[in-house]
Amino acid sequence: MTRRLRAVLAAIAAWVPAGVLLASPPSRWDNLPSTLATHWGTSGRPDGFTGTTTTWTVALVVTLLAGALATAAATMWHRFGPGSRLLLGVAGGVGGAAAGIWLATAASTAATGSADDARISWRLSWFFIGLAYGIVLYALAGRAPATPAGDPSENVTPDAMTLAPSQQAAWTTVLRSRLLVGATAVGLLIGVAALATTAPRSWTWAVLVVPAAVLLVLAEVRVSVDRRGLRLTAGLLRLPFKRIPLDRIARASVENIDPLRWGGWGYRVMVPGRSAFVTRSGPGLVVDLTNGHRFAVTVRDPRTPAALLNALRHREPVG
Amino acid sequence: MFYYYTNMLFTVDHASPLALADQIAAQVRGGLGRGELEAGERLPPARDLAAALGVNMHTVLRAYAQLRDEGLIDLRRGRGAVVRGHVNAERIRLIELARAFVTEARRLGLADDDITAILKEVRP
Repeated sequence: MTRRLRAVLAAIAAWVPAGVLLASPPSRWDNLPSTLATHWGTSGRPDGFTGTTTTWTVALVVTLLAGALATAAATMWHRFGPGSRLLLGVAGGVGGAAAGIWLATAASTAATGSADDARISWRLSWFFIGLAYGIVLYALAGRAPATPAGDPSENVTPDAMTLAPSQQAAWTTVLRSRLLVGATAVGLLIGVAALATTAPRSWTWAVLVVPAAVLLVLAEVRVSVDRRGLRLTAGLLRLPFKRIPLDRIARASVENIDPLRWGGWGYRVMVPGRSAFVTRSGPGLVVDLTNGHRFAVTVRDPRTPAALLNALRHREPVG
Repeated sequence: MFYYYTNMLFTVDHASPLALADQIAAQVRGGLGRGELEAGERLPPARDLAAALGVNMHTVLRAYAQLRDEGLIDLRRGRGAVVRGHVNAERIRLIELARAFVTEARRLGLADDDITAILKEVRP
């Protein structure tokens, strides 16, 4: 069985919890009232109740999302590498757990015919069995292919730019996202409207302010290369959030950046030994550090800053 | 998702007989003339550029003031130096020609009145 086929089988198997939900709608049960016991106290008596149709619908949506997630993970098998296997496992666990919760709560209430008298007892194990379905998918998916190194023909280390000892050079560019600013504004408006209509406590405003501030800070980022090294500055606050001095740089090169191999879009520190500011897939400036780490940032013409860094790093470092 | 600004490379030569401010201003003019810098784009903050090039901040401000006087950029507190809307490559080449003309006239010892007289003379 090929690796690819195993991933596809795992993705198909990830839809099984959704199938279980579709095969067991409330109408298929005898003796199921319109309200389910969904939470039990330490005494074993139920103390939380939810509508039967609501419980089934929510569980179905969760299993459908899990199936979609697993399918996406399987289609990105070759690009995402080990992350795909993990996602398949997570999707299996989440979907399985949702199906387990539905079966356990519905069966508990159906057994007595009334939510007030329902006991979950051993049926709680169905939740854990559902959760363990994630392990099954993880095992079924098998080892992911090692992440490919990309097309090496596109990765070049430009020669150092010619700079006379009396010359000083600085390169700068700005990455700005109108979408990020727009999305933040829309998100804020929705949040404000939601808070205004639900009579919030005063501290709930903080929930809005923090993500909005983060988004606005990252909406404009200035990338500069000069005698101080490579630095990324958050535009609105002029906050340097990434600084790499010249004496820590071993080599600067141009590479084709695949966001999935660098941990995704945005400011990323997910992959060990790698960090990146990625705004799209395409050419980027990649810096190899003296400690073996790598840093990448996507810019329009990475050749110039790479050549400049290669010229500057031979000079005496300047504070 | 991201909007890309034109990349800007500034180089200054401390050994050049040209003043550092003139060198910086010339690089911006070059970028405008080649169409690499477009209307609405922002030049790096003077403080940043000065630190990057190892020159005094007032040198960069002098360069930016020169560009503002030529009508190439707007200098506003808080917004920094922004390339003006009507700026085009032809106009910049014309300014460069005028600059060469004035420099040559000064070398020949002509005063302002003589220079404007020559301009009136060549007008069709």
